[in-house]
Amino acid sequence: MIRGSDVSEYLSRSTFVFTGTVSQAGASSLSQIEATEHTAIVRVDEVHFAPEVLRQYAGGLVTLIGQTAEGLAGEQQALFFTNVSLYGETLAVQEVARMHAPKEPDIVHREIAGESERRDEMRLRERISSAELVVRGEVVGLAPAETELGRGSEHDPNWWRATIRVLEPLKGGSPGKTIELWYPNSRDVQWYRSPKPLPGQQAIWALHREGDVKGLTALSEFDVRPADEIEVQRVKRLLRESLS
Amino acid sequence: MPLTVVNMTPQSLSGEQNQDSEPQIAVNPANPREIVGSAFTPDPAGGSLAPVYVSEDGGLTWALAPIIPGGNSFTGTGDLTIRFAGSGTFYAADLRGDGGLHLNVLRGGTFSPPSAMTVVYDRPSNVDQPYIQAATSAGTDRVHVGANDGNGIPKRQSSLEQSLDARTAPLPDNFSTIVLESRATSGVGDAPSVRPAIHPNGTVYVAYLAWRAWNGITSTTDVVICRDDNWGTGANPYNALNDPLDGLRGNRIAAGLVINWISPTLGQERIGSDLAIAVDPTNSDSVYVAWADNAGGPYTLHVRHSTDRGVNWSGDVRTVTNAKNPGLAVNSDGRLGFLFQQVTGAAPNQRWVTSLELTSNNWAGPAETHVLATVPAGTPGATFWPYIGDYVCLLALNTHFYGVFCANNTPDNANFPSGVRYQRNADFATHVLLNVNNITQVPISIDPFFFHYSPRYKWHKELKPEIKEKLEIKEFKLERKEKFELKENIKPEIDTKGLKELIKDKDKDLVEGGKRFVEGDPFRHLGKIAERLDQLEQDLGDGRAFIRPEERPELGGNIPKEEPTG
Repeated sequence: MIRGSDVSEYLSRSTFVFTGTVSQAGASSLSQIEATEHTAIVRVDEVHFAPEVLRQYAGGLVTLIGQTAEGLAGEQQALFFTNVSLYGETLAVQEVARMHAPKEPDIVHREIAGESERRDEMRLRERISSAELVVRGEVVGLAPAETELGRGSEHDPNWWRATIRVLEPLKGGSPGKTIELWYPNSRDVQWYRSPKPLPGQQAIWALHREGDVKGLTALSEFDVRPADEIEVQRVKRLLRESLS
Repeated sequence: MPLTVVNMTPQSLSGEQNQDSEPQIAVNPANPREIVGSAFTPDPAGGSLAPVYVSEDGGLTWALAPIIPGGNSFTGTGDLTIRFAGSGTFYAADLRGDGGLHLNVLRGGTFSPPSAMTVVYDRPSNVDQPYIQAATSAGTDRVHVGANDGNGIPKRQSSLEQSLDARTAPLPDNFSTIVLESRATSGVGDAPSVRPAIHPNGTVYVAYLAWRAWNGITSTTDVVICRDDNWGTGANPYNALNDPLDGLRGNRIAAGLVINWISPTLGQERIGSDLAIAVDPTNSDSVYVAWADNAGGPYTLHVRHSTDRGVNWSGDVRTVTNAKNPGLAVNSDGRLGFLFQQVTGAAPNQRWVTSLELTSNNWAGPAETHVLATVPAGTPGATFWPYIGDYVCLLALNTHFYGVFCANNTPDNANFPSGVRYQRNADFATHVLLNVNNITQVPISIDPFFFHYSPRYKWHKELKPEIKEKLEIKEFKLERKEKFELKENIKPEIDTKGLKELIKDKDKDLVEGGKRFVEGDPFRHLGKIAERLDQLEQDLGDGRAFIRPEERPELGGNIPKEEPTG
């Protein structure tokens, strides 16, 4: 019997979860990983949870570094909760937990299906609860924030200011008023992933004070969310939960 | 072939499509089969350790191993450079992936399996483009990190972070900061590039680009070379090379150069701070430097040479227009390797062409030139800067050159004139990348490419006579016992590791195809043995089975001809 609570707990500590069959116990398919009684070559039968780049890995081999040698017998099938420690011709995976191959796959699928969304929501909750200001608003102006020519570094953030008209205050702010958001307009590797407001863009903005930035800013992808009703309700729920 | 080019993306990551730019490489002098590479590559699983590429077979195959603390899920780290010291200890200097301009210097643990690195030095803010070099002297590891440092001062200045005992000193290791810049800089300080080069005798050169003026569009730049003759020790380190005009630390070998900053871009890549330096491992008086400027209009690479420890410098011995990312290295034959990336053609059909040039006479005669890659410069579109890298890396170890560059990864043999090996799934007939299932098409992206240049002497002329003679005698004896007597005839320093493998391989050759060797071409077998000896020499990091140029006085000091065996 697989308990959902176990699956959830193991899942929270794993990045690569799959049903697999032990192909060769006490073996390794990677030169960097020494074969021991704790290792086994496992064929991946079905990928349940994985980073995007490994979602099509079914049929491939992994070298499992088991927590225990027990149960790593040939042709044994199991549900493996793992983290990838080496990406080579095949993968080396460090075992977090192992369960019998699911006879009730629905439980596994149900638990695993929402894991990406749960992780995203956790990050969103963190960003919203740490924000100084959360509003639904519209960009009404964009301008360079600094008059100087720049800082002479390839990592210069090139700060700009977005003026945002508040449509709905969610945490602080007043409707109809404008607020200023400082954002790095640079394409440099240090800054390219920070949101870049667009003229007329409507969004939920979670504004933070960060380091020595002279104004409120929104540097994470979770700081700028779509302004649709579903997302607004989700943010409101997370704000309520963070206060309770 | 003397040249091997390998796409470093592992087979299990065939589905990846990151902009894996700005590469570096480190070759273990104690075991050159151990090589580490790096690029802006994240841990695919989004873990907190940023990955490096590791190879245990001299760069033929690669795996990705998350080992650097402070990784992010987009590019792994910020700026990252890596080196092995002579002790075989692996070091890295990076801007943490989770921390802006936050410098870490790190020391590696086990190579196989790769283990997480340990932070041995930490500066939390305002450091840029750390560039590491490492060496081992008198049993201690010397680590020198060039950096553009703005800590505690209003302007960023060219500096060096260094430790004279990075391997065994207690944590935090004994790093110290030395500000190299001795003159007034522009309002924003110096350019980001600061490049050290180490000679085993303790000579340390450092090159940097000093901004004397900067207006956001162009800089007015001096190319400055500093030197220390004893590992940067003493009360006034890096004061061995003063400028003849103002007497201050650092010889300004070119002054008042106009250099465009960031744009106009070159093949989607930003420009403005390209610099490389290399010292001849056989002669610390001989040092080369390369930089790029707009003094003549287009962004142009210049290579210059000094034979008197950086006091006097040649004019340009080589220039390349519309080019950046210089890499310089000198091998144990005094041969200079020059790696660079050049944009050719007219938009929209421009190409990034990556070339390796080898010269023994500063291009007085034709250089041996290898085009490593010629790929479209317009695709894929840049996700961020740097598009292919603010730098590449070229190293020399004994007679060998090792390097790495980044490029569009379209699997097309025409794009790789020196040949290429892919680990990731690819269909070279249709020029498409394929996912791990070998079915689903994957968009092209930027990948790191490793290369290894291994000189092959024409063995039957250049193999040491005593070795050749003995080998030939043994070749005509059939008894296995006697074959083992080859051991007597190989240089003692070589005869330590891998000899059994050599003999085993030789035996395999002898019975290949069911024929006894005497019925075949004995030279073919000797050629294979010569290659094995070369590999053994490389493995050992010392000892030579082959004639060195200085051992051939009849050639007047010229390098013997090197003919690829193909």
